[in-house]
Amino acid sequence: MIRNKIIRRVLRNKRVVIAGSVVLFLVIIAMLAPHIAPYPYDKVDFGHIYQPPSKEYPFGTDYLGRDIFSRIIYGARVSLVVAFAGAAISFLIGTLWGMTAGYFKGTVDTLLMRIVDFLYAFPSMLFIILLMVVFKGGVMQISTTAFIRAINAIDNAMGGLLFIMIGIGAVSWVGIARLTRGLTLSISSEQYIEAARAIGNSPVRIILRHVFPNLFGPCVVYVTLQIPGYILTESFLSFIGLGVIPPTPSWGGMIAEGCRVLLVYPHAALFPAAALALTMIAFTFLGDGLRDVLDVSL
Amino acid sequence: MRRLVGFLLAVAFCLGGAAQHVVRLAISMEPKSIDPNIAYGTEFSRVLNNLFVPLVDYDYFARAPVPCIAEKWEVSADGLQYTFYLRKDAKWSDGTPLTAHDVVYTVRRIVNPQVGSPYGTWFDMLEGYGEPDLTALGVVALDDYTVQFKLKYPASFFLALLSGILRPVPSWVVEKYGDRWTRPENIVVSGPYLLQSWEPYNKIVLVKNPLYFGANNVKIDQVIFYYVPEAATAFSMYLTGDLDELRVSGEYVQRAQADPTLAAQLHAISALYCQYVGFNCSVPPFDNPLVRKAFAAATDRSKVIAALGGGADPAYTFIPPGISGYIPPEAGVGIKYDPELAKSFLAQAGYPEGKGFPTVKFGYFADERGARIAQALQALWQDTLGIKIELMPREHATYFETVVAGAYNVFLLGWGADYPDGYDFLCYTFHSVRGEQTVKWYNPRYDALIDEAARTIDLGVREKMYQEAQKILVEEDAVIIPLFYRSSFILTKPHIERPYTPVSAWDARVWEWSIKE
Amino acid sequence: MQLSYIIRRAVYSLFFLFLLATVTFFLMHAVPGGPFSGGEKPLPREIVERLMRYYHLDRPVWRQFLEYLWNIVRGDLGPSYTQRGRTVNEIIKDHLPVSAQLGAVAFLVAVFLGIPMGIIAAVKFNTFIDYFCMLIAVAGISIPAMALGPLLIYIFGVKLRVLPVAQWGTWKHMVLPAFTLGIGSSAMIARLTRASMLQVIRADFIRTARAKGLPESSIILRHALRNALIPVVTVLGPLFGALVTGTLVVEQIFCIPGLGRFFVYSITDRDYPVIMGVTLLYGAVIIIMNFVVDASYALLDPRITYD
Repeated sequence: MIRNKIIRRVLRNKRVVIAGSVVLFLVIIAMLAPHIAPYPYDKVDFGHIYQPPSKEYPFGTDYLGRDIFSRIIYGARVSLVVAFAGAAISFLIGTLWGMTAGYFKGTVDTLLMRIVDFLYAFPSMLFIILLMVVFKGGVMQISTTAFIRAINAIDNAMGGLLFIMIGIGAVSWVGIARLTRGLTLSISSEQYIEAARAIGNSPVRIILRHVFPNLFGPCVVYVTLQIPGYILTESFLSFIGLGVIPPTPSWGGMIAEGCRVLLVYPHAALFPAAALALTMIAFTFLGDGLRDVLDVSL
Repeated sequence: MRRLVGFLLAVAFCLGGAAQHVVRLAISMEPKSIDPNIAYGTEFSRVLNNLFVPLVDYDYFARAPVPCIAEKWEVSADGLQYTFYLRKDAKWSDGTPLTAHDVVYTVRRIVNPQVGSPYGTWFDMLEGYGEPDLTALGVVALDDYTVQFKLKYPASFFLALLSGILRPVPSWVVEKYGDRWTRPENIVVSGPYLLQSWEPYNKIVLVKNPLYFGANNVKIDQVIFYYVPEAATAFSMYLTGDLDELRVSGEYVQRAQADPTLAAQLHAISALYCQYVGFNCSVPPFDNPLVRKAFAAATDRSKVIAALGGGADPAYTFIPPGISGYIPPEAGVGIKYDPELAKSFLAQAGYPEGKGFPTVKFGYFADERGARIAQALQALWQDTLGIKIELMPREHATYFETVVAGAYNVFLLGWGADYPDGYDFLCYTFHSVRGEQTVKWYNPRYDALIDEAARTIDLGVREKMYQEAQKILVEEDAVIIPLFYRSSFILTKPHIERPYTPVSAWDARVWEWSIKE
Repeated sequence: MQLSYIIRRAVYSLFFLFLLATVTFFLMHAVPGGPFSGGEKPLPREIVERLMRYYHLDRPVWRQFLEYLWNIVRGDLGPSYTQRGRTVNEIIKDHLPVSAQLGAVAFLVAVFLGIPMGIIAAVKFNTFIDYFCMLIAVAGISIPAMALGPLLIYIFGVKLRVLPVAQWGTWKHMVLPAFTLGIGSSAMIARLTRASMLQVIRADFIRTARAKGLPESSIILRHALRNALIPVVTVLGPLFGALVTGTLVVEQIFCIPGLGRFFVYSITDRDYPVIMGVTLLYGAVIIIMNFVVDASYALLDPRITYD
């Protein structure tokens, strides 16, 4: 009953509806990419290198004559997969961490939170670059451990996405951990938690049934607002050459390439930059709207 | 000494103040060092060559060494003894005369393992090389202005080697300041310009050296090198006149060619660099030369160059034009693009239409150029041969290690000239003993040709040997697929008058430039 | 704020820096590859070995770490492996002021654009002005610097010729890069200010002030803003730190000799002393900024005390 009410409130918020539709639209495009894109993203056409937008190629072509429009559509896939997976990984680690700290309090809390405090001030860019350098160095490929070689093979098969997702997840869980710990602390001091404990429910059960559902709102808001940051991180990694493996298209990589020839072929950077901007705006507004509705306390 | 330098700078300034001719250039990489014995890379020589003069210089038109510090030289009949007679008016910027002792000191320094010079091993033809006592090395100063080198074997490329790497350094400065001797406040130079200031990642300012022996002919008073890593920014700076000269590549070449004003300022010269694809010949199926030939025949160089935006000449053999041993394309050596032939090679090897061929691991060093070349080749090979290529970009600190470890089936590499002789290209790369061990291929005939050529003094005979070696390399055994020789396109503002050496874009020989009034 | 509090903070900070140094050092050395073995045409093997020995890189890592700590205590951050003849101290001395200047100007741009925009949007909540401001703000965050930079160079530098294209020197050189850098942050500040103001405006004490009949502008600026700024200030601290220590992208595009490139390229170059020096510097800046932020809390909200 309460859920229906919440859903109705959500849908009534203008921002959520508009931004949410855009996000949904992007997700659908990403999922249907092979069917919508007029050309495969790696189809090379040497005769049409760096063509400006035309009927044949609506957004023009890049340095290998590949259709930018198709690459942007597939690029949506990459950006969204990286963002969602990175968000999922950090959400998973972060909430588990935070809930454990907030529920058990005492020394467990202090220990876990000290680690979080340290990592919070640790330069995350340094860490993610170090991680990516290890992953992409190729030394994993010639490693003697079969497990490491297998992971490397999976990453190659995914066009380099696996390591980026792991990298982003590994660096971003800290913020969520802090958030969930704070919320868990306040929730677990509530009466009904005391009651549940008194009945004899196991901590795991209490956490999952009572604590977690109450965190959900604020967490969703937080994660939604982080997503533009994840997308930007992936772009930055591509800018410095530690991103996806070509020919996998990534908006960030396309922008970086396009900027190098900005004065000669502006269309190469313009369209991916617009796509990126649009996506980030959509997620940000969505997050804002959700926050207005779901979590007045934030 | 510092006072003298200060005085010189003041003099230079005054001379400059009279009619200040300034030239502004760009470098895209910050020099890691301007110590001529340690700097290893092409960008830095633009600055370095204006500061230090070599024992002998090289004339790329005549393809022969020419006098510089050494006025003349004699080579003994057996090719084991080289005697250089130095000019008597060469001075260091602190007033000390430049003597044969400086030459001897520098050679010993280069060979000294404690210094860690990348060229140390290239002097292995000198007598006494390898012995811990450096004074036993086969280089002596017979008097203040005569140097004599004694060789173990008649290394025919010796003069070319010297022109590339032997620039004397001032021993007393090096000894006094160690690693910091190249800083503007300490440095003492022998060349046409003094180092006035060096703001790292910002700009390097050179000012005319009045004590340089050719100072009367130096017309440009001040040279400023701006550090500009982004091509777009550099191009903008040239358009606004903040730069007087710019080397452009790729799409900017086309942009310049499309604009009539810019096109008139554009000049193409070839760089001494060959980009190639190497095979790991130890892992099947690439141990089969037919497979390698198939890949070579499937390589359409014009498309790869188009992907780069142009600005390069296709290469079918390894040594670039301007270096001894160069084979022009008309000679027909090497494997040309022929898709039908490629398919037939592959079929002969047992993989008709690419059926059954394992996924090819293609490693390359992840920068913008590498990414484009790799993707273009991937598309070409997949289309023509019907196989699958997996791209593996690697960051630069570990790339070479992984190539040598045999992690890939094919890999992208390049080689730029360190000195103007084919030996540099053929020996340190693919020779089974002295080479880099990247291709894991051993052909005794190739090694024999290289070793023999090292001892052959006659340039004509030597060239034939280099050519034959290349034939084995790219045609018979198809160990590498040469892709292209990089060209440099240079934009120069019309008010500057300068010669263009037909090759070697790395030298900005500013002392030969002048301003049109 | 009492002395004992400050001392405790200082001790915690030193401990934090020590921990940061340890983690970074060992992490760095755990990554494969070294400073001398990279590139397309690396140095000959014997040379690499000699260089490793010269810089003590062949000793066990824990031993190198102790040597490093000993050097730090004496104020020596070590030499740079890739730039022979330069020490890390010099690198920081030469490049930090540039980044700091750029960062400071960008920070001012961000604050003086962002806070007013946020206030206006909050006051005109749910109107066209609100949406418009927020749209600009979000657009500012979303357009990456790597696209904005070259665009601005082209418009203002090449076409209009009103500003220099690149490099660093006069105040004119600061305009484009500071703006490129500051826009993203100003957007974030605007959004935060707005969100915070919205909350505060609905609070009880504002209603009281209104009931008392105080003029609206005074209410907004004096009462609401002060409280609203607290969460904003929280972000300003780390933001300032990030801006000041340099942003690679902007510095690369505008050829600014700042510290930003060292953050990224020292890692790919495996220039260990530079990585350590720059990371510790970043840590120190964060600590200082956090302290400044906490101190400003006390100023903004008299209810907050430290002991």
